[in-house]
Amino acid sequence: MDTEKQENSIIEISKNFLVGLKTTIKTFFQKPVTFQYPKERLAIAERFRAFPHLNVNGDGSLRCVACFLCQTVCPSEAIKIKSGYIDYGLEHELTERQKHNHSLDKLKAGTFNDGRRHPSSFEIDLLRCICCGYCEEICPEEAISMGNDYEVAFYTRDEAIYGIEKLVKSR
Amino acid sequence: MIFWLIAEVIKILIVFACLLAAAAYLTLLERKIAARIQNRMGPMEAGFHGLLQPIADGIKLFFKEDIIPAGANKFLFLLAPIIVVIPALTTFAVIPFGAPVKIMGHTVPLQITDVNIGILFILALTSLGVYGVVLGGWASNSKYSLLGGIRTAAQMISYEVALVLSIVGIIMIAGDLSLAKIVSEQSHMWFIVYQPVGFIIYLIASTAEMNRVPFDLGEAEGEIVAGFHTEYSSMEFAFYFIGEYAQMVVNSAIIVTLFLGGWQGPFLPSVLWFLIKVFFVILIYLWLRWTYPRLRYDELMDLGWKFLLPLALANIVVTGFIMILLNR
Repeated sequence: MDTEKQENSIIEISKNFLVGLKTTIKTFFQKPVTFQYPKERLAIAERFRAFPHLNVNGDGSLRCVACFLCQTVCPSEAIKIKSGYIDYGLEHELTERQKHNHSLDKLKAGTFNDGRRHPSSFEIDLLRCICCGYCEEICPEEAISMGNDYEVAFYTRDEAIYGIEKLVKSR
Repeated sequence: MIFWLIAEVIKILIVFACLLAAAAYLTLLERKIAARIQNRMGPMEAGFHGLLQPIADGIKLFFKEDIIPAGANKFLFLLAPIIVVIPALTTFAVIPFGAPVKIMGHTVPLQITDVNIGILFILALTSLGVYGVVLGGWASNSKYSLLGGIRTAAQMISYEVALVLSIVGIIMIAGDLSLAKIVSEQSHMWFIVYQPVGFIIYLIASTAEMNRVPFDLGEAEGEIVAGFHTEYSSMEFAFYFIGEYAQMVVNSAIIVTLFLGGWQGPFLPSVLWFLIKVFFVILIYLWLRWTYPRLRYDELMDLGWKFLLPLALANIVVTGFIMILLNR
């Protein structure tokens, strides 16, 4: 074998030294691959998904109907929903169909509703959430969808539990 | 006489200020070049593209707490960084940085003092730097510092031999030890053409002399924390840094003076030529640093004693033979 001979020859060694210098001078003239993070940001991929957030209708009401599908499908049990009814008051005129909705009979007297269930509280624990996107996929009302805000930070664990207001506001 | 005195003082002040500024801004240059070689951007926040970074670093170091370890020899601990800086700054005294200029009828040489044994002066002073490192390592009362100091001392002494012998060829050709004479001898041809081997040996040996990567055995992070300056903080640490970078400027200036024709060059003013050449030699040092990994200790000693020293001796012999053949 002449590997040993090669390793010991001074010409070979100096050639390798020059190869090293050539490599570094080549990278010297290349564009840097890093960027100034808080000032510049990478473009987010179209299918990027961060934490889920809640969607609203045009009039600002929640789309969620408290069907519990997302809570059921959530593999990390991050979603906690409590269902309830929204009190529209006496002035709200019920549709014909809503009048015949007997699910409303259980409501206490004097509460009027449009006949649909709504979440009285909807909580997602962002520390449990694994951003899998199952909730978005299963939601029949397109009420929950995945955002793209990847800069989420908390001081306490309680802050990480997002209620309805925060979930609507977050991107 | 008074004119001469004033001119000397002004020259000293200018050289001193320029050296310190260069040492400060070399840190930025080094970081920028390192970043570019590693495809990064380097400091970008302080000022335009990090131009104020050295000043910010200086202010930060100035206000840092000054820690002196328990059991350290306080006097030597404080003395050591000064010993590193002073020789590095003083060496520049004999380096001519421009053609003589005429001011008010007087000829002022752009060189603080033309000692007729200029090269010996440089060699004497640059090797003083090792005392600062060894004293600092010993006075810190820390095993890492002591190890770093001892390593550096052994390394500097080994490479000093090759360093000195690589210059002997220049002295033989120039026939003079004065640096001004050596520069004027190079008006037709730079000495790097006659002494390419000497140039390479000097480049390698001076890198080892300055304790820079790939010869930074004395401060090898992975092995002995930070070597001789492990225990240093605040301005003493900054002094080590200033010393290191001033040494780099001075070594580049020596290379330019001895091998690259000093301040001589066409068209541009001589001082500018000198600065351009020094800048390029500094770039070579930086380039070397960010290309090669650190040598192992036995490899370091092998390179110094078994390769550079015989090569330097052979260089002297060959130079002598050729000079006899050409009958100069």
